[in-house]
Amino acid sequence: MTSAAARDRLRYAVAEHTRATAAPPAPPPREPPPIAAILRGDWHDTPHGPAFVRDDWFSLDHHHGALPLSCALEAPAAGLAHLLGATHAPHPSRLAFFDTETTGVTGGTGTYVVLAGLGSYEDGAFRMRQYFLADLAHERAMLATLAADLARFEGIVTYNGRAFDLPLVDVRMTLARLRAPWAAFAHFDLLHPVRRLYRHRLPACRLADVERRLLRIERPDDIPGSLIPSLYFDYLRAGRAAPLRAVFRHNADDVLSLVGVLAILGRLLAGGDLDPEDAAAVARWWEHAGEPARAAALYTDALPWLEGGDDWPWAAARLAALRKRAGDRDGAAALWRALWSQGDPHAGLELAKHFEHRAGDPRAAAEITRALLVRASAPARMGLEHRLARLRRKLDAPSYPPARHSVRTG
Amino acid sequence: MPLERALDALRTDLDLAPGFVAWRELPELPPRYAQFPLATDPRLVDALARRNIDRLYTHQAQALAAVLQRQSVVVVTPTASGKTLCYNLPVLQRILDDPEARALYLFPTKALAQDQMQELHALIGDLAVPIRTFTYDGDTPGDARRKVREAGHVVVTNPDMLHTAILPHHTKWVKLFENLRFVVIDELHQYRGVFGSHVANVIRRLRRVCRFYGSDPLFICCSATIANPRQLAERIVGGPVALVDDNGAPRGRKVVAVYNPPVVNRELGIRQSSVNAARAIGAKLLQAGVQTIVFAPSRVRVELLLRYLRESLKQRVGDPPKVEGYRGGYLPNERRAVERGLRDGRIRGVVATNALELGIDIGTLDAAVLTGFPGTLASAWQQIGRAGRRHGLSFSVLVASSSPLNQYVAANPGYLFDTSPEAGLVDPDNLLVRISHMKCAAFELPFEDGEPYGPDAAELLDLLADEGVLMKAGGRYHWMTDVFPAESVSLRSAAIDNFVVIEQGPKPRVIGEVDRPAAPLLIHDEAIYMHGGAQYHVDRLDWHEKKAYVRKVDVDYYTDANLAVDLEVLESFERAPARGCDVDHGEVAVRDVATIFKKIKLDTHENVGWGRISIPEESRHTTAYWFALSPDATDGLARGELQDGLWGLAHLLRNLAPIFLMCDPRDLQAVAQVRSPFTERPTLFLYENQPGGVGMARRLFEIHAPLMRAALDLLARCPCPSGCPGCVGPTIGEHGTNKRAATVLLRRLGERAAPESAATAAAAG
Repeated sequence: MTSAAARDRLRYAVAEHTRATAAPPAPPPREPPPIAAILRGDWHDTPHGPAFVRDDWFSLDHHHGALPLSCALEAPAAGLAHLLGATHAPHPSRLAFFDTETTGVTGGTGTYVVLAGLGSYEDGAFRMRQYFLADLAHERAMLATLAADLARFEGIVTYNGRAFDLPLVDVRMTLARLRAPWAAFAHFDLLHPVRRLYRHRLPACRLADVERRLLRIERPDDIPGSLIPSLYFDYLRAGRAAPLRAVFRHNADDVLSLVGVLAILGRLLAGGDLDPEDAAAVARWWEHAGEPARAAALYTDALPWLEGGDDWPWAAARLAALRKRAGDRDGAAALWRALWSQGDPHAGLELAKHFEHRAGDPRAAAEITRALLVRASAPARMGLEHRLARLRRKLDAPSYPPARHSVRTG
Repeated sequence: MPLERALDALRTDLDLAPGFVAWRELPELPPRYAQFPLATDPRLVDALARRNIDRLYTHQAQALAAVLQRQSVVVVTPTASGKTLCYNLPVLQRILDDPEARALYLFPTKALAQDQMQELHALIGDLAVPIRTFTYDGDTPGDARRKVREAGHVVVTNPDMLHTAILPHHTKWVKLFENLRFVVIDELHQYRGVFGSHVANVIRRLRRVCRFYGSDPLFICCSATIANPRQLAERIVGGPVALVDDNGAPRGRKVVAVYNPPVVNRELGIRQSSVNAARAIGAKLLQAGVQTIVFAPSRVRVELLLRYLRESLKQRVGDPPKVEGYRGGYLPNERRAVERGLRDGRIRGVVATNALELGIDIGTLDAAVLTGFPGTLASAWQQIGRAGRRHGLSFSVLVASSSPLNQYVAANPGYLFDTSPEAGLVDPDNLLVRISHMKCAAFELPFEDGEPYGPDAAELLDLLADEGVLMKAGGRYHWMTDVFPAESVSLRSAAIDNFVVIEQGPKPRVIGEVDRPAAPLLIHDEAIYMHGGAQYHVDRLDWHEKKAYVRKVDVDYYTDANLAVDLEVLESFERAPARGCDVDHGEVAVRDVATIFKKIKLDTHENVGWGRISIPEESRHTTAYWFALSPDATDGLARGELQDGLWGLAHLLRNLAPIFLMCDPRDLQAVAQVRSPFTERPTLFLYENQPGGVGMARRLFEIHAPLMRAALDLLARCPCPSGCPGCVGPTIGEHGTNKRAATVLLRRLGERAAPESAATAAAAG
């Protein structure tokens, strides 16, 4: 086709877009795929060829972190239904706990699912089943086995599965002219409730952060997910299977953590005795779910216990807003006073409005407004100056009676 | 007839009349009609009847008939000949037959896509059948995308979106691909050169994905008049295409003139500026009530002319005719308003860049004024075609600028009227372009062993597998890295990110956009940015945030920045001695440097000041081919002659090389250095416009000898006395030495006949 020099130039061009991951040329993979030599597993014969499937059985009292694997079975049904935002949820024994490992995070048709982990309650135990793409030519068999196994479930539990794992499996299924049977499944994508409940305490909300916090799990020798594509490519190219043990373990640990996180979230939303921090988090949940009365009750119970802690200011501010909306102006004002005494400018403004329009005390309102002006940013100044000018006019008006009592705060 | 009177006035105007160096009257062409093909759905016939269309023009009927016989077609259509029916009819007909059928429309720009959507919506409205059409581009909101993917009968998009967003995610578009019956490629002539080669490869990927889903769509292409529409279509589409070029649309009588502005300084040979001349002619036409479009060669000139025309018209009593600007950088709603105003006649004049040349639907106007020759005959005739009612008289005039090319056209108007338009060349099998798209294709679907995919597919697949990009397993080549290949392959050479122009004040607002290459020229600190005829002073350009902060001013000057090109050799990949020179190819850094701007007084165009431009210098790395002349090759030529000869040669090679490379002249740039700092000798560089290059420089290196011989041959056969656009470039008057000096150089570089094998290689391209 071309001269040797041109071929070199071509190599350079080929490498250009792939420098980040291009591995040194390696010998072709050996046959049969070496995975069976490293990990116990079964070769399932399917009409589409062989698929490598590995089962691990755990007893229900096996502890993954702080909780036994039976915990999800004991999660209150009402809590699980709240988690779904539905009237009822499938029984946990009918749920598939699911996570995938892939050749990339960009998505699209060229990203492969190399390992799918499916945990479920089977015959009084917990079965961890993993489907591994032992050879690229086995993909259809692997997906067909997975699709067949999924058929018996009514719901699926994932972490960010709505945006990542499920669409990606759908892409692979479509390419293999198969279909995953989860269209009608109830989907517990735990990322979203975790974000809503723990955003204040866990800024990143990665599964690793959540399991550390909720299940007290540490994984010192876990491999980072970003390494998985290159370990897998290395396995395909050079037949190096041993490092994949860590990938299987990583995947299984993620799936097992889903069980505990589901149980904890279900328990939280079912009500009952809650830590004050949790109660405040659940109160936020009910606010978002459009149940302000339920939220207000939880905040009210939790607030005294939270005083002095990180959660008090936001919880107090939320409760004040709920009380204001419900017409409980004095109740709201009491919280604003407390917040303002800690320097919360938003509470200060609300309090100024309250004094001016509700309590009929422009002098107190003006005092707060002046204090706010000192710290206000440029865009906020205009509104405050306008307010202060109006308050001054009210104070200067001859009809205004002198102050009869001073402002009590706190 | 106001136009008749206006033309009489122009030809008798004492100032203007002597400048008309050509005045040709093109006769009226009567319409030629054909009946609807028998298979046409009666609902479609009824819907068209409601829009007063009760028969088709011949070309529309031919296109419909060809498609009904399952042939792909390319329709060559002048402006405003009803081309959209050529594709909307067969598409709607098919969807009426089979509501599951789908069509994909590709337009080169978002603005065009929007425009065509409106037209299609109107027709579907008359049909009263639930046919859903959607645009899918970068502006489509995330939550709407799902609906487009699942429910759109007609999806309107651009090649870039097809490349990065649709094909790599084709499983989300199952419904579209399973039922894809038509792919419409409008403005086909835009897809030439390297851009066209990329698009041809995107289409190749599209067809491959269609095969996976069991569909085999027909292609309906529309092209402006070029020399080789059918060949271009077949290369882009990758299959046989029938040509429909028997245009049955009527044309009224049409006058096409060339105007050369008068000499204002005889000693220096300086002519009146084309902007002022276009202003005088445009104002006369508008004052006479003639709806007129004025084309200007740059955005600055659009704004200048807009301002000037408004001033000229202000002196009249009563309400002056409304004139608006239209160019890249106006916000979409502004553009829509101008389009509407032109259609309903409220706007009488528009000053535009070639954004309007791209087939935006404004109907046609009575007169077109071209400020300067737009560079190619194909676009000159597209601009001329903007004036031309179906009945009655229309008028177009080319106002020559002082550039050699323009002056050549003014001296030889036959070049405009009698030369065939340019050919659209593409090379879908360019190795580097094809390799990048093979990677994208492998990402989309694994390659089967032995799958046909252009020349040497098997060898290229093995090469990609050796490099670890693909992995062969079970007789298929799988994508095997964690990168998303389409992201690193750009179809266009120019970056398409925009700078926004923000008017400061209590309520800051965005008044316009400027694309990245133009930003250093238009919105540098202290520039006067003109928009809609108003002036804004650029207080600050935030290069990193891509924002320019401006405030409205009223000053008597505008600013004009110049771009200098600086080329530096980084590395020579290969060198070979050749006759009279050393030939290299290698990597170069090209810097476009905007260093100073001038303040120029409005109306008089005096230079009233200047300033420095400080913008981070950005250089592009690309590949170049160059040859350094040996002393005996330049022997006896004075320095001035050598410079003329080198520039002449540069012009000649930029015209000639694309024919060998199957690319567009815009894909190559030439730089001549009388003494290159790298070779220390007189050197001519041809470099690739695409960053990184696509292998054309190496190819030029390989064909150096036949290229020189072909250049000498072309020069010897060109009958012009001292240079023309077709050879070494136009020269003004009889004094230029370009042609003579270039001939001397070429005789020394390429006289001796090369071995037969090299000549065959060149002919094979």
